Amino acid sequence: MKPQQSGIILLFVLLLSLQTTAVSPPSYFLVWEHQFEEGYITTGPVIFEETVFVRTSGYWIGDERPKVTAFDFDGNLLWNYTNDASTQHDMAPLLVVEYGEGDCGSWETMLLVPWANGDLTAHNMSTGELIWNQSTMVDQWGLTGRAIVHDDMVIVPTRHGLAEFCLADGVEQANYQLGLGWRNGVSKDSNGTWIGDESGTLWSLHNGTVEHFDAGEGFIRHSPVMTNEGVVIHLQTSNGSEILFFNRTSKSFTLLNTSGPSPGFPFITGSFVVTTDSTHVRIFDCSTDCIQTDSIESHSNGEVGIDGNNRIWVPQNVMKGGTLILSLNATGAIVSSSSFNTTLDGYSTASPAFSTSSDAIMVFGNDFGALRLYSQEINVLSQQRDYNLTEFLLGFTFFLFVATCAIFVIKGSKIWALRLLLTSLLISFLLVSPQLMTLLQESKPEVLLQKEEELWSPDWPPEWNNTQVVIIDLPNGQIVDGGFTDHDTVYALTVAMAEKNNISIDVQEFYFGVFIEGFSGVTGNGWEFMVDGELGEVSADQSEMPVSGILRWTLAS
Amino acid sequence: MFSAIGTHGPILSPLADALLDIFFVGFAIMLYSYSKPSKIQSFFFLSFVCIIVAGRVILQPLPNVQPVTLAVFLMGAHQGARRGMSFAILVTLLSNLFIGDGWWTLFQAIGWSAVAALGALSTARSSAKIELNVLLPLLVASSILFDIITTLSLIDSSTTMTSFMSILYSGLLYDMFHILGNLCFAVWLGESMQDFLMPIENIHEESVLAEDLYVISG
Repeated sequence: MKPQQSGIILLFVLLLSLQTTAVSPPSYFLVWEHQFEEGYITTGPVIFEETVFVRTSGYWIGDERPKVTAFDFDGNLLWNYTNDASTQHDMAPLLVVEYGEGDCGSWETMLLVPWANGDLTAHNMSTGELIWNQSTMVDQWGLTGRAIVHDDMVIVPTRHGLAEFCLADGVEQANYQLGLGWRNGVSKDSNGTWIGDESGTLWSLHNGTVEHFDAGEGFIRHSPVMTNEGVVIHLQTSNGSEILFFNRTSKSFTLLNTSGPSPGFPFITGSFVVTTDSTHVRIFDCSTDCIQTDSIESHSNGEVGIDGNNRIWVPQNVMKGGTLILSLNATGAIVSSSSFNTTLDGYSTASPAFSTSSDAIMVFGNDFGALRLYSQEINVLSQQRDYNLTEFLLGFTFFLFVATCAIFVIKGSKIWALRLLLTSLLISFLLVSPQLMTLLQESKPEVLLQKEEELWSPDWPPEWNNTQVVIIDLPNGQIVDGGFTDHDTVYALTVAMAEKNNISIDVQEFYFGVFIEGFSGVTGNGWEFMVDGELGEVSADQSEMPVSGILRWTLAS
Repeated sequence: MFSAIGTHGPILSPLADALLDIFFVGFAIMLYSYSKPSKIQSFFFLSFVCIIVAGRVILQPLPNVQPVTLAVFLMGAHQGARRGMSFAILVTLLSNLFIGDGWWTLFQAIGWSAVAALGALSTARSSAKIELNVLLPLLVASSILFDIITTLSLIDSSTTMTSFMSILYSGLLYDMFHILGNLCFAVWLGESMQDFLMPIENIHEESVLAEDLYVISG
């Protein structure tokens, strides 16, 4: 064999090795996957008995609307329910309520769904049919935080406070006007009901008495975590975050630690509280006063899950981040950390769900709208590993190309070998072009970064501080709006701003991303954006938007 | 380096756009007419323009994968620089009518004209078919040449050397698609395109020969 032939065959072998699919840790196998055409999964799925419930969130500008969907363990669609009136990002966790009875009647096992348009709906678990529906006050959005069940009531964090509804018929029993809330779940213990707000205030309700405690400048965007001695909150501040312990006896806050920006939802397992943000996962021993026992670098801004072996699952909100899996020892030290990666790794804030009846089942959803069910019992449920049929066919076709190419080389037909080799290379690069684009962007030399300082305008209202602000430089003047929160991408933020201000957007979708061609019919040579003065160089839907920052759209020069 | 999409530059008024287009078409016709083509040659030439325009428009969803660079290069190689440039200008103008016309059209036309000139240079001393082992490296060079020229359309008064380098860096992936696409077209269609262009070339040579004979006999 000639040296050139050997070289080409070596190249084929290398290419074949690139086709090896990234697989999950050996104990989990993919059983099925459902790809939602529209919307993200930003809230963890819920498993009850042998049914998986999941909700999709997004920015709804076309005909699509947010949904709740139910699947069985074989991946068969059982039902879905669409809320045509909800047009905001629906991120409140789903809540399964088992049957029971109380002072206001009896109820069947049902699924409660809080909606961003202020609706609270109760659904039959098997059919999705509405059992009852109640509305709450809307101020841009309605229900966004975690609701809880207490006795025969469901306690729901509303936009302006919280409300209690009878589980049997949905009739409102109480309504409290507190602070303005966003994703601020509610918690309850024997000392009362607790909730935070957008002013950094922690509220407590006990036997009709309302108290409030100022945690400082910032936002409380999670359910307060109840410990033996007090309450843990993770306050989002302008520069990062503060983890605070509120002592119920002294009614005062103690700073446990400062940490990174965009805190996720703190979580308690045993006496250990787990906090997450864009820089660290931190563990606190809260058996008495909370003391940090350990920390590890991580980028997580959403929910945290825990499996039947008390392993903590922390979804990473970065491309290719996967999920960080941590195990703690009896003193709260991290004794092992590993990563669960799949071929669909991407931005993720939804925690995985684990079946309580069988630890062997795990369900994942991510920001790409992909829902996957994994099993540890490959012989029982799994027909395939971590790939779907399309990926398999693509991989197989690629293999055929390369193998045929190799045969032609051996037979001496260089032209056919070249044809197949170059075509398969081109197709492969096209298929992974979004990832290549991101990779190029992330590895861009510092010296080439174009950055201009984007200044805060004194004319803007102070409540826009530490939020996402959008400026559209139209030829006849600027349109500026702020106060936006939790929009993960430039595109999502732009759509939300445009919707709010009745600005039409002309969008063109390419294989490698979404490009904005015009605002309000103004097209020119297209539009380009800067985030905090830095020119965007990948498409708007692939550009990450920081939790607080200034997005500027200008006509391309 | 962008060429398929994302190209910017001054916004041209409809009048300026029309004048630029008229200038280009006039220039292309002038270049083409210089060698006094026969009707059959013109028919083949325009047919080839239409095929390549259609190919570029159809392949538009694939970033920078288009048959134009190969076609322009071979046209230059087999028909000479003038016809190659004329072909490049017409293909650019016509395909941009479908894809999007603007300031960048000027740079694309110049870029592909430069590729045609390179093609003509590559066969200046030979009228034979270009072998693949020569064609492929020249196509890589042509792709890079074209990409650099079209990137110049992004320069304005605010462009610094750093920002220009940044633009070049951002376009690397598109350049790779352009190069790979051209190589694919070359290995699949290069031979057929040369076969298609060779008869035109022969007609061209025959008409020149006939003209020479007429002059001698006259």
